[in-house]
Amino acid sequence: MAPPRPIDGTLLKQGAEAHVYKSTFLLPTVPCLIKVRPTKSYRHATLDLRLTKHRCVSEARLLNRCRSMGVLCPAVYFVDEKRGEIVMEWIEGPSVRDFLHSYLDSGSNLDDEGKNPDVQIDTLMENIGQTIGRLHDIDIIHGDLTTSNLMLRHREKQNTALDSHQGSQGFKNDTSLSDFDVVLIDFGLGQVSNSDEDKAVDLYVLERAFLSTHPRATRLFNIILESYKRSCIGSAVVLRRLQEVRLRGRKKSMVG
Amino acid sequence: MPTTLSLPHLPSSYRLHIALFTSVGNAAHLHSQLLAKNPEYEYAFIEPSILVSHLQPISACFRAIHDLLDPDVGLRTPNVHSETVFSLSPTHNITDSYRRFGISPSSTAVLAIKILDTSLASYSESDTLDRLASIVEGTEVEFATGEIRKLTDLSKVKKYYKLKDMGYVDQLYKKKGRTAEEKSEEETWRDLEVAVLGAMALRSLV
Repeated sequence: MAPPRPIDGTLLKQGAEAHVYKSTFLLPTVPCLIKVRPTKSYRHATLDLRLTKHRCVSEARLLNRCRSMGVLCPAVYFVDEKRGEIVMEWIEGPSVRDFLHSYLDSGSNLDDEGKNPDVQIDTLMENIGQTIGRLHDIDIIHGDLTTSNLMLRHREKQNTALDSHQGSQGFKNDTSLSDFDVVLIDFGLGQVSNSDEDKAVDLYVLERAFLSTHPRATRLFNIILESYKRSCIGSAVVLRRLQEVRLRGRKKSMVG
Repeated sequence: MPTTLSLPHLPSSYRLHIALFTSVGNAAHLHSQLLAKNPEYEYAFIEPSILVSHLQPISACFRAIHDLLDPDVGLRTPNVHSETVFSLSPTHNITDSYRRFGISPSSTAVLAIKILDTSLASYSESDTLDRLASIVEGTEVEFATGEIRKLTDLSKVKKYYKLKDMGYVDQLYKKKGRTAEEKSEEETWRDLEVAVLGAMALRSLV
């Protein structure tokens, strides 16, 4: 294993799998995000190197495939697979999770009955459905679709430093949500697969995440599904499979 | 005036000197000196028609210096300058990478890069810059994305970086008769830029 080295950047988040830093790539004007999978000292060194390398490589490949085929996600700038580092494009903007929270907290009426339907939020949900539809049309399974792994980026102001909190405040007042792109992040659990089962499970994971974090938003998830149905080419089979998955849960085989 | 840079995440003593030339007259001479391994001509001479942005050659330098300094990796070509040209390639074939991404005797434009460790005693910035400005016979233009894009040969870029899958979803949707969003020219360039950077970054992964 190559020795770990200090990363020149600010630590943003630290998960079980990786540490995430904000830094710059090549030029001070190009912001980037560095995702590092640190060594796990409790694992055998050889196994650890193999796992780290494999995960790093597969995530980088997925990101690149996704981005070049036309689904928005961070572009890969540099990979040092021996140290488990991926340098990728910086996505400026709040996550959908943060955005929805600040939106729901601010007291707008979002009822399950669909009273006072908010056009702005509906547009966002349609965008999400469409983005996931596109992702599934290139046979990529995200594996961890949650609202935290969906980011909102302004189409014009991609590179301006916009504080995420201010940003979400700014949305409501003067900008339309249709000016925002939904960008997928964190392909650490992703894979390439064309099976309906995998795609249905992907949607199911999002449904669970969505309803548990935003309990008032059942209606919103239905908009996502509607939009997915319209945009994704193989959507009919996947949605039928989703019904089955809902009944039995994420795991197909209950043996073992 | 050549551009001088040092890169984040690498020792700051490593400095890049970059100059872009058009209407180049002595490409054949430069090419022959490279083949003769003349140390006076140890530069990365890059064919600008395969470049889509100024980040692309800088990223290649980053990879070259990174590999040079990493004891586990090391260089796969004779020096850091040839490694820079090799780093532009999305494949592991060194000869091909020189031919496709390096200068050829018929080149009319050249991007010249000198990478130096400024902590060495022999380093002199003004000498390096003078030499860089005089080694290529041509008109120096600003090393900037705008100038580079004037020289880009898109069909070559797409072929060498194997980008036929680019924008696959939109093509698919168009075929199925759906409305695909039109991208602005700037967005198309940006997509191309990151696709190329990605292809270069993923080369090391076998």
